[in-house]
Amino acid sequence: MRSAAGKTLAIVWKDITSEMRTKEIATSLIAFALLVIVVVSFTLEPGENTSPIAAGILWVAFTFAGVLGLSRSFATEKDKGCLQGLMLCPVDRSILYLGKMLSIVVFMIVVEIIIIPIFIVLLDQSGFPPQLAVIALLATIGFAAVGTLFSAMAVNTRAREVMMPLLFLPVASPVIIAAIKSTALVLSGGSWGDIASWLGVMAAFDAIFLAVSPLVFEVVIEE
Amino acid sequence: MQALKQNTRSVNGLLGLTFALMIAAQFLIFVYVPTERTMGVVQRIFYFHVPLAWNAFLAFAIVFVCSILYLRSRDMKWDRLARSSAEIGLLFTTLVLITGTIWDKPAWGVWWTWDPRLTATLILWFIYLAYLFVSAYATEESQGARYAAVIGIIGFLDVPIVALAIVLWQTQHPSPLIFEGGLTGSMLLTLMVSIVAFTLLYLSLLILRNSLRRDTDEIKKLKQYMDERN
Amino acid sequence: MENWGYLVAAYSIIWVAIFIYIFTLHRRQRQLRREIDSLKEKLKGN
Repeated sequence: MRSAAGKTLAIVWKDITSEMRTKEIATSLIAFALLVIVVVSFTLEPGENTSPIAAGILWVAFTFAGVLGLSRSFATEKDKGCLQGLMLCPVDRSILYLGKMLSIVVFMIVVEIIIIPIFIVLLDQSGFPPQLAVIALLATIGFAAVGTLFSAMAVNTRAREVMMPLLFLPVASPVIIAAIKSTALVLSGGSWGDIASWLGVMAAFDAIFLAVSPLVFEVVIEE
Repeated sequence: MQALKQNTRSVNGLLGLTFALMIAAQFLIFVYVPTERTMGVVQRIFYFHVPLAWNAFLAFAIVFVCSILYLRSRDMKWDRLARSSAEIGLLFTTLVLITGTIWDKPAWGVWWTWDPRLTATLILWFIYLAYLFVSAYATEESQGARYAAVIGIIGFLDVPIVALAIVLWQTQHPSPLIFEGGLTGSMLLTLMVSIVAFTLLYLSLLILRNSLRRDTDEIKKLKQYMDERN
Repeated sequence: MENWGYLVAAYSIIWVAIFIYIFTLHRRQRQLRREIDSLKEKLKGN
C-alpha cells in the first residue's frame, strides 16, 4: 500500500496528466487573467504612474482567475462522476483534500509564472522583485486551502457558479489584501522588512486553514 | 404538541426585562449623557453602534459554537439555533453598517471610509450572507445544515485574521479618524447599559426566532406523518 | 445643535428594522397557529 504522500501525489498526478491532455484549464485561465488585466487597465491614462494600482490589478486578475479555476476543478469531477470514483477508494478524506489542493496550487503557479512577466511589461514595472515569488506562493496556498473546500461545497448546491465566489471572496479577503499591499510595496522598491507583517498575515491564514480544512472536508463530501 | 408549549413564563420575563432596560438605556442615551464636544449630538449614535456591533459578533460566536455542536451530534436543534442566530446577526450587522455610515457623514464629512471597524464589519456581513445562502441553496436539509455549519466554523476562524489584515492596512496608512478623548464616567455607564440592553434584545430575538423554526419543523414532521398514514 | 437629522435617521432606522423583524416573526407565528388548528381538525376527522 502506498504511503499517504504517495496517494496524495497520485491524485495530483491524475489532475496534471488529465490537464496535459487537453490543456483547457491552464489556457483559459491564462487568457482570462490577461483579459482582466487589460480591461482594468482601461482605467489608466497612458504615461500615468501605475505603481499603486498595478498591484491591485495583478491580484484582481489572479483572484478572478483563481475563482474560475477553483470552480472548474470540482465541477468536472462531479459531472463525470469522478468524485464518486475517488470516494470509493479507501483513501483518507484529508488526503483527497490535500491532493486536490496541491493540484490547484500547481495550476495557479503555472498561470502566475506566465502572467507575471507579461504584467510587468504591460504595466511598465521596473523589474521582477524576487519577493513577489514568495508573496505569490503564500497567497496561492491560501487561495487553494479555502478554495478547494468551498469549491467542493459549491458544486453540490443549486447556484453553483455564483456560490463559489460568494463563499470564497469574503473569507479569502485577508489574503487578497495582504497580497495587494505587499506587492505594491515590493513593486515600488520595498524590502523584505517592509512586507514582513503582510507575509505574516498570509502565513497565519495558510496555517490555520490548512489545519482546519482537511478536517472539515470530510463533512462536505459525505453523502 | 409538546414543542408548542413554550416556557412562556421565563420568555415573558426576559422580554419584560429587555423592554425595561431598553427604556432605561434610551433615557441615559438621550437625556442623561452630556453631548460630546467635538462631534455634537450625532455622537450619540455611538451608544447604538457599539452594542449592535458587539452583538453582531456575539451572534457569530453562537453560530460558531452551534455549528461545532451540530457537526458533532447531527442534532437539528443546533442547526436551528445557528441559523436563527445568523439571521439576527445579519440584521444587526446591517444596522452596524448603516449607523456607522450615518455617523461618519456628519462627523468626518464622508459617507464611507475604509476604516478598520467598518471594513471588517462589511466583510463579516458578507460571511453571514454566505452562511445564509449556503443553507438556502443546498439541495436538501441535512446537506444545508452541514454546509452551513462548515461556513460557520471557517467564517468565525477567519474573523480575527480579517481584523489583523485590516488593522495592519490602517497602521500603514493611518487615517485621521480617531475617536478623540477617553470615555467619561457617564459615557461609560450609558454605553454599558446600552450594551446589556441590546444583548438582552438579541437573546429575546434569538429565542423567538428559534422557537418559530422549531415549531415549523414540528409541523413539517407532523404533516409527513399524516401523509404517510393516508 | 446641528446634525439632529442624522441622529434621528439612525435611531429610526434601527427601531423600524427591529420592529419589522419582530412583526414578521409574529405574523409567521400566527400562520403556524392556523396551520396547527387545521391539522387538528383533520386529525379529528380521521
